[in-house]
Amino acid sequence: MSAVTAERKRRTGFDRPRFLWALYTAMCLYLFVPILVVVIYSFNSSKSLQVFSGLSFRWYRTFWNDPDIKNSLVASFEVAAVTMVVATILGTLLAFGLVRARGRLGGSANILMLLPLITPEIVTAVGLLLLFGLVGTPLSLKTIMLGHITFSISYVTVIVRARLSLLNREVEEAAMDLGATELGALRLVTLPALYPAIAASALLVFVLSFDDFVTSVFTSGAGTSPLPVRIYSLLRVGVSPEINAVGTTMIAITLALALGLLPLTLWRRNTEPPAPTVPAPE
Amino acid sequence: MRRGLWSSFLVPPGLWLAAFYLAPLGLIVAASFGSVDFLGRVLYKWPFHGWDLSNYHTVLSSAYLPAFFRSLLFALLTTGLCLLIGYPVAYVIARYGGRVRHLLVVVLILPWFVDYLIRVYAWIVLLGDNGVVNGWLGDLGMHGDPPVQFLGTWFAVVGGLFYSYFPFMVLPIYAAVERMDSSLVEAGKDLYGTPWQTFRHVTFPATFQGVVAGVVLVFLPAAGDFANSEFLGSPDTAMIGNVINQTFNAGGYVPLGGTLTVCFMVGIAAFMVFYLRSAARASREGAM
Amino acid sequence: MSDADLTIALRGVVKRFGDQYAVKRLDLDIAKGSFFSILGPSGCGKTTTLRMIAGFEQPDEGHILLEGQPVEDVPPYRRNVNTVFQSYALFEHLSLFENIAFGLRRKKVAKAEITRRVGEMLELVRLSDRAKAKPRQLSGGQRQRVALARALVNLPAVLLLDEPLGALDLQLRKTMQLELKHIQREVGITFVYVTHDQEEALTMSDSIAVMNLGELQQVGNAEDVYERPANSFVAQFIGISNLLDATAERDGVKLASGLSLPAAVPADIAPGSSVCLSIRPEKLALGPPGDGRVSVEGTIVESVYMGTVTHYVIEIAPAARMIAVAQNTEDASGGNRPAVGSRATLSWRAEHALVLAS
Repeated sequence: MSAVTAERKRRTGFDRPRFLWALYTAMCLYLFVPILVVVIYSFNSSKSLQVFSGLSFRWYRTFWNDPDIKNSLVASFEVAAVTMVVATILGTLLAFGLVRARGRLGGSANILMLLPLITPEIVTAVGLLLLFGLVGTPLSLKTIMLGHITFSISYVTVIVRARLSLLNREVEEAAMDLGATELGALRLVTLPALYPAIAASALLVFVLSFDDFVTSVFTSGAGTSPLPVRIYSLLRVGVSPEINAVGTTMIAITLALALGLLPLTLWRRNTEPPAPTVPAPE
Repeated sequence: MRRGLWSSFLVPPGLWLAAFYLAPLGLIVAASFGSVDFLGRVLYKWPFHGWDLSNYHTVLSSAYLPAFFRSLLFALLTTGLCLLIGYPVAYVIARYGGRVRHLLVVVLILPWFVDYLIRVYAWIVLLGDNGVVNGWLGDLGMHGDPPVQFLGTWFAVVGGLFYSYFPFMVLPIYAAVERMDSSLVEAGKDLYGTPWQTFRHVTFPATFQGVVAGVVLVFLPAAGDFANSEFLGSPDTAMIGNVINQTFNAGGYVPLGGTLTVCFMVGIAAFMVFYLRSAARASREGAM
Repeated sequence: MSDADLTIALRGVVKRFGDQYAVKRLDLDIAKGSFFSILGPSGCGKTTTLRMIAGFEQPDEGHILLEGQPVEDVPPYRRNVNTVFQSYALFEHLSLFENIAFGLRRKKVAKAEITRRVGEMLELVRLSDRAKAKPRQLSGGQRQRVALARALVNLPAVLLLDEPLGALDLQLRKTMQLELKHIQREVGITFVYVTHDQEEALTMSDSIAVMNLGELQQVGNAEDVYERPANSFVAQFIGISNLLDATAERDGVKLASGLSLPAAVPADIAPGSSVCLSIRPEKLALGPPGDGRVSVEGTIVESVYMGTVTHYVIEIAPAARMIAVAQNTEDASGGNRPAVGSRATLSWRAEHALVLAS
């Protein structure tokens, strides 16, 4: 660094990065502390939220012995798993359609795809409730799945499309040139290249569905409902230390899933071809 | 190339979205103009076909209006707070984060993966009347039962909203700052004397699209939120989301719920349109 | 040439994209076993033509015949044609071996034979020791060779190459040009080679088709296309040529300045029509004219020393300049070379001046 720029740096007053880093750290603490508190107090041997009386697993035992909660946990997994599979398939199809289909259909399909992402969840949830009422479908886990899939499709499409639009079309053409049909080329060449994006979006959908609250609350029926709905009911009755244990368990599950996403985003870089130096063919 | 192939891919998801997203929206509009029959089932009415505007009179001329304004206000406050803090944080990670900047973003985003309700609940644990903070304050000698009434206030609600939606502001701005050519800032520093000037004339305009995305992605969900208000606030802080939730899930009058939803949608429609147009512009310019 | 000797024939092929014509009524015959180049500037339709032969685009009108059979409606995976793409389009997630074996596997060739044939190809392109490597570990030149091997191993009737050497540096490009020519001779497959580099086309091809704006300008071998360009576009696209605007007369042309020059006027050009007089710079001699040569006087306005040759720009009339190229032999060194500003005589043999339709 030349003497001039060094001088200029000193003259700009407070050392901006240091202050900003302090802000970043403060925000990280602010974001993590409440969660840590829940985790810590889930191991509290007493009921209190103010006195830590000692380590104990009693709330976990209560949680584990509560059939409602256990069933809800299982239900959450079921719903999330089905949502993940269906939304990923539909979302990937939509991504291909948006990137590849020629004609004006693409523009309106694009808007249709973006709308669910920016529509407040309460609106889509209300609509679904009315739809099921009209059609006469009783509310159940199945209706929850239908709702979850609906808002998840767009997340998959956005992620897969971003990757798909970067792929070299010629690679697919090369596969066809060498004897693969259109669908064969998709299967053998394009989908493997898309794998990181598809996997990342599938995982994201799972987490979104597992954590989902608003749509689930509106579309769940009298039977077993997913965990967040159960927690909602418990919270309305009052704060209970059992919820700490439930909460900590959910935290563990979703953080594990989130950390599963991390290597996938890095993997993407390793299967990319070197940056093209050839101008795009005419 | 079979021409129809790719267009046919659009059909299954398109049909799904039409059935489970568009049709429901239509039903909301129809319900807002309708009523219920003697069995309590909704009677749907379409504009100009025997529609009934009485629900709209109810909503627009009464006690529901404060809830609308409160939602707007809270959402704006939340968005402002997110922007004020989120922009500098996103900026420092993107420009000064170096090789670990992705990791830094991940760390910041990680809490968001925790279930939404648990996050709201965590604040109850911290700030409740019998919660952790009040416990400390009591131990420190503060009087009062509880020492400080945190919950039930509007700033608890806004704080909760801020906590819930902060990542949605950080991510788009981070992406925009990262994409920005840092030599622009260097050039700006030469041209404009103070850091504030550089920011105003160079940095902010260059990252504007990210800011727009962040603002819209925070404002919209925050406006429709109800859990934060229900658990961290009080009936005085009820947002439109709470009213809608009660109408549908606590045995209220369904068509009125439809009207409330429609009015809510209209209120935020301007923001949605703005976002869609800037997204369309961005994808045309290849920024997606 | 009977249709049986032709591997590829294009008859009246037209291709439109929206309102734009990419290819306008193209008729082309490509002989079996030849190295055939399609040459032209960006946007001339050469890549579109190649893609139509491969099957990635369908012609709007006309027919494409492969070995006598019309294939316009046949998808690429059923044509006996393989392509080497400009971007190589290698399968990044597969090893070199699997890349090359890809086409054979689609045809359900027996395992043992796949191993044998892929091995032979790897030998041919000198990458046998990298069979297990992934494409991203290779250099540009190596990737190019894999793309070639991957296409060739299937022994197609035709190999299509879309500017395959564009991304390589000069040295490598020259080496690969010779290698490709050599491989083509050895394997005997018809090569259709698309390029915008006229030097490349002249070096490698048996036949060259010059295209511009979707239309075929001329087909011929290197000498045909260079010495006897069919029109002014070909004359200035291939090599450098002096092109003077003139009006045709019975035995020559008249320049705008009024100067008349004798030249052979083709029968189909009527006197009075606009033409271009085309003469290659190396055909012009500076200095006293010999017998039987056409000569003209002018002033040297520029002299550019280029090592082996010197380019002279000579003004023979207002707004009429010609470029002459003279070798820097031992006679023409330093002070011996004609100076800028001096008068000079340019001369040429009459048959080297071509009258081309404008």
